[in-house]
Amino acid sequence: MDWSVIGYLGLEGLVVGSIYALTALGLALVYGLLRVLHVAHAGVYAVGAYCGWIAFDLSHSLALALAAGAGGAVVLGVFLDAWFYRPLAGKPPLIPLIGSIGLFLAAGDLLRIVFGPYQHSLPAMNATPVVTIAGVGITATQVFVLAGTAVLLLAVYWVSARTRLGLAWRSIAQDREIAAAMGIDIPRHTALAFALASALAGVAGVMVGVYYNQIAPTMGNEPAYKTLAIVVLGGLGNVWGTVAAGLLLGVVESVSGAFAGNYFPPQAVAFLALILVLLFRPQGLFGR
Amino acid sequence: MYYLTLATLLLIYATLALSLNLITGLAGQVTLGHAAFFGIGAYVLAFLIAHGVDFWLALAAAGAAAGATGLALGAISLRLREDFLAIATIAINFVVVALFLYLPFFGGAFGMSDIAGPFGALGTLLSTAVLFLLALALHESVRASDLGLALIALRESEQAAEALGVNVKRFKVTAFSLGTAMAGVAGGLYAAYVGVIHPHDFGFPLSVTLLAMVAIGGMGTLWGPVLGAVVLGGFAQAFAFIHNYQAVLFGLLLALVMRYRPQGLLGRRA
Amino acid sequence: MLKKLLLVLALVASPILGAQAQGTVTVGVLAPLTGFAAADGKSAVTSIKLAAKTINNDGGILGKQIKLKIYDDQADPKQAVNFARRLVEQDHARFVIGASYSGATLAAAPVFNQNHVPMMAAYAVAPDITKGHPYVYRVGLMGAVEGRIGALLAHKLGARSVAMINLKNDFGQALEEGFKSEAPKQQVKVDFSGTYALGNQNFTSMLVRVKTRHPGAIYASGYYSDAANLVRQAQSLGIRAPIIGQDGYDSPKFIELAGPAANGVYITTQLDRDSKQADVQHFLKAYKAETGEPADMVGASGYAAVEVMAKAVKQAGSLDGNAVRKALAKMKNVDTVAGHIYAWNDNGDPIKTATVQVINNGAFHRYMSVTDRKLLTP
Repeated sequence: MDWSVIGYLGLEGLVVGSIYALTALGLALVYGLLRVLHVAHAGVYAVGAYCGWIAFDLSHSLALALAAGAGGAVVLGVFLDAWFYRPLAGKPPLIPLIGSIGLFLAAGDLLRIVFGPYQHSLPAMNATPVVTIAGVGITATQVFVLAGTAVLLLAVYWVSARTRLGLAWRSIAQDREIAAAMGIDIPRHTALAFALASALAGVAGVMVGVYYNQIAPTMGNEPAYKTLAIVVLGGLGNVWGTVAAGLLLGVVESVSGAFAGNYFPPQAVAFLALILVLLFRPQGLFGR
Repeated sequence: MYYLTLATLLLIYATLALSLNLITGLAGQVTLGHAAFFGIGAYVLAFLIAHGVDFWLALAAAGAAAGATGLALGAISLRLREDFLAIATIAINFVVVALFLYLPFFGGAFGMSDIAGPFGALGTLLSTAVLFLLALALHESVRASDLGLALIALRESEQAAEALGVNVKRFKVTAFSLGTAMAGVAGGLYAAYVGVIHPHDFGFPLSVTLLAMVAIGGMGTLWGPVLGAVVLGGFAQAFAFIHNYQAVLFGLLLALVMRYRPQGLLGRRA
Repeated sequence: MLKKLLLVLALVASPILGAQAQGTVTVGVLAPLTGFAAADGKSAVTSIKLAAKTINNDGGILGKQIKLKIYDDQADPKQAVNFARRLVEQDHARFVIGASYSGATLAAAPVFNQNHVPMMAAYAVAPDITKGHPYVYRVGLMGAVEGRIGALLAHKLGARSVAMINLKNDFGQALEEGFKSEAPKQQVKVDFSGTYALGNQNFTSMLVRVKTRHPGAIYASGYYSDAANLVRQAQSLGIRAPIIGQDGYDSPKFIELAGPAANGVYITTQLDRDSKQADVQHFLKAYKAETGEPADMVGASGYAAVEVMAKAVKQAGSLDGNAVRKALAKMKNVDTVAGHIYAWNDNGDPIKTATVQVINNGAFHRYMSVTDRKLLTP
């Protein structure tokens, strides 16, 4: 048995899982505060990727592309919170869910109308191996995704565990009424959560563009439903559970893709896992 | 003939919307995977017909298969809270489609083709019309019955319903089975209508469209889902002249109706 | 004398004037312009429009100008079947170009067949589209045939063993079957056979397993957006074996998205960039001028479909569906931008030449032509 196979499985799994974690994290954050499945988050992700692509096309600077991706995503995400989700607070969650799906569909198609149906490359980095560990060659793009994710996760940890903002978020998620009674400005904190969630999604979108060297109007389709599965596996609202679930899913998909691809699609792994987990643990892997 | 075949499609959509309304509108169980049951019905019929089974028998089997699977889903749904259930139904949709794609006796990636009903276009239209009327009748009898009133009570407040002695569990499961069985029969007729089926015809996007029909029309009402089915089902055909924009218009319609008229076009303000 | 001349002139001029008064021929087109298949739909429709324009500039079909009636079927069978009826009953299309995917084309084909409206499928691969439908023909290469060509190519490249990475859809399945059936005849052993689902872009884990087998070549089926990642990741892993793709890769986008990893990739396809045929060079130039991008295989097959139908109508001398269909059945040795068609078989599938292109310096070039009629017969 060639041990490097295992190494590569882990590597690819972690890279893919990192992107899942970054995208799903924002969804979990929003759900924790609003109890709404923000499916349009995948639309924010795609729009962020396009903003990053435009910025890279004009400036050839990856840093600017990341900033533009985050920025564009934040603008859209905060707008959606203010115009769509806030006025629907208190309505049965099915309503914003369906509307959110509509927003996602519209966003994707709008990208197609404006930028065309074809994919575009984002050639910010070569996929050449830059470091080899235990026979496994890690490419520059993989270092970029892994390091970027680690940095962002640390930042999110710092905000949520070490700042008053994070404390406020956790209070609202735990008990909305008491938080309001304590004087926490819920709309403002929700907007900030949307901002952070969207920024993460926008950066993830740019990362995806760089790693796979392509963006497309349909790029949000898979994340749209896959992040839902990840968020449920992670315990619906449990931010760190979601991160763990995302990373785990990436690895499981990698393994099944390498060995079981003839028998069922790795993309269905997320959902098979979900069904199995929910049968035995209806609150998710990491839910309370 | 064009209007005939278009009408048949709209009737199939209307039946599907009503069947979904039983589960989501009346019993309040969010399901985002309804297309899977439509697909189970279609594939079961296509498979049985290809093996020489009588059309009507195959159609009944299609409904039974979908209903049985729905029964299982109903049982699972008992353990899950709302958002978990919604996502679990998406998961089921994907798994069912994967089964259609990977199980060789369903034709795999080639799907199944040359599915023929026992009659031509007019006969197909009449059969779907009959199915639709049956769906209407079933929907109304459920809604107006003790079962139906209980289901509505369930949607408003599960605790209150339970306090009133309503057997919450049994009704949820019944709603699932009836709704999915109806979808299965619609699926069988659909397979004969279109003649060729592929796994991805029954995927998540169709489930979303079906739920959109119910929500935009007016969840829980009788004619709301039917209106939604006609409007959204005929959308692509009616807006063919601006086809470049019909998908974004569809999404915007969904978002705007939910934002500004969440009870749907025919719904009463809650 | 002058009177006679005028009379002759009048006799000559009147059919031309009469035809212009009747003027146009409605040609139907079904293509996915929105939805997941929108990119292919756009390529196809762009090329179909170019073909119609070229023919119209040359005087049209039987003196009449082609008027295209295009419907967006979203690659959805239930849309396609209704638009097919609309084309037949409301738009009175004289013939139709099927420029959509297999599912939608399969649903539409019986409608056109029943109503005796000839349909030419451009690039959809399902065998049942043409089988049993005498009015439905196909201009694209059959998947199973293309798979056989892949095995031939592997042999030509000196590979004794091949690792297969197969796309799980009808196209990939047909290619896989064709390759596996021909491989033993070409002394090629299939050492590994993996499968992936459409849209998957993570191939490293499967490629690592492939690498340990040291194959002489890798036969990987797929569409260019996924394939671009496959070849990139293969290069990152240091895999030296040549990669053989098919016409799903055949798009300038593949070269853009794969970057430097595209060089050295072989594809079996139908569009020969180095062809000396006048219509091929005209199509390549016109497409580039129209869109700013080089043409792709899907576009070429759309263009070819129109070319062939125009020729068939001309040979039939009439737009009557039955006459056109019979003309197609009798046609031999037709040059199109998507290869040379020897003839159609009884199903309506073409026995046609193929080409192998290799990517060098960021562009497709001819590597070899495939003209073995036995190999090419579906």
